[in-house]
Amino acid sequence: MPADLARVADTLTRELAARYSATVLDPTHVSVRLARAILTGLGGLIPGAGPVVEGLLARASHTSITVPLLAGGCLIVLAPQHVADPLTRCEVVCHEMQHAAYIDAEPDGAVIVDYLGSGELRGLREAEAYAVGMWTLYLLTGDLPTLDRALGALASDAYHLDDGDQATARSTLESHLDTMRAGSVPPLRVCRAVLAALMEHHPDAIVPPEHQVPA
Amino acid sequence: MNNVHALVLSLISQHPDLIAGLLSFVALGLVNGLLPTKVSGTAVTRVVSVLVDRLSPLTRKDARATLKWPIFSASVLRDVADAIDPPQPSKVPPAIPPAEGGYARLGAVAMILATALVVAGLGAVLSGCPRLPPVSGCTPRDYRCTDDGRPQVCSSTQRWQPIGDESCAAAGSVCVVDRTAHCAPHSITLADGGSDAR
Repeated sequence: MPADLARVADTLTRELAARYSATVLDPTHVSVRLARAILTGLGGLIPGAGPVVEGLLARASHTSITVPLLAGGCLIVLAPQHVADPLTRCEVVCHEMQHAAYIDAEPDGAVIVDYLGSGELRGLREAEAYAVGMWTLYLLTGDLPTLDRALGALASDAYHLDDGDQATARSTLESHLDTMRAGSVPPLRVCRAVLAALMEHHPDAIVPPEHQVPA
Repeated sequence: MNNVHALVLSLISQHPDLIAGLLSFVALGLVNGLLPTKVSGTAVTRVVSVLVDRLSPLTRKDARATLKWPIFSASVLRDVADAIDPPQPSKVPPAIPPAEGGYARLGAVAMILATALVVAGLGAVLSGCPRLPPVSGCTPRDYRCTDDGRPQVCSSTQRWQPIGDESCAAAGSVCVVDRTAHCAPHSITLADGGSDAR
């Protein structure tokens, strides 16, 4: 019987959020809706802000974000398009958890400096987050992912990466893909955590035979 | 300090909705403090303006007072009704309030202090430098395995950058260089002759 991916998504969200001190908010969460309502209201209140707010809300509909909190831990806000189906939700939650893992490992702000201050490091961080998402998809479908979607995203204006940074990010992704192709786990803690959570709670959801729990 | 940190973390994890609500409440107050009392626009805009004002503990920037009880201070329904259908102005001129001495509004001072703190915090964070490895002169897109079995790639700025955040051994694999540097099971490495395996 195929695994219930909605339950798998809930499990991955719960287990990884606890491990990396993350709070995950769905787009239907009351605070997200309130923030949207306030933004929409401000768009009407402040002259000239309408187009800016509209652009912001349009981007928020397909961009999930991870924000470090001053008190420690981080907040993950999922985009509406990323919770539309459970498989995409699994992929995006695990992608964002890679960012949460960086923040959790170094809560002193150095991660923010690295991400904002260097295109090379930002490209590497995003490449690894995409690798975690690809790994999750691979475990749940058995299909080796292609790099097209991740490379397309890395080339978009969301990350402001120059050609050299994109090339380095691509090299990183190719390495992780070769690791999956070889039947190993990519050398990322979140990848191991995803596999461990699936093995413990949803062993039937793991499709690649080399990663299934021995009978 | 650690106890306070642990307490805050535990509060966030146990009551995420409450914390999110509190943060939204604070953000709402800050936004309201930036808006003028009189807001023109469509009925929807005016209603949103009234609700934001009534839910906020800070008054508008041109109000005389600074703090108020959110939502309980006035009839919200009456104010919303007034926003949709504004009452006709009275023909009796309003009483002129007595002159007051100069003073700084508490809200304005709080806003300036909060802004200064945020700017100082951001400045402190961003004054650091990204932690890039030293330039090694390697050829961009070259790969290698480190002595402790971690794949690395040469970046476009000729720095050896780690691939992943742990060694291949953490998942029971070894690092190999075959097209790329990546992790592979022991068995595959042995069957292939084990070139560059670590």
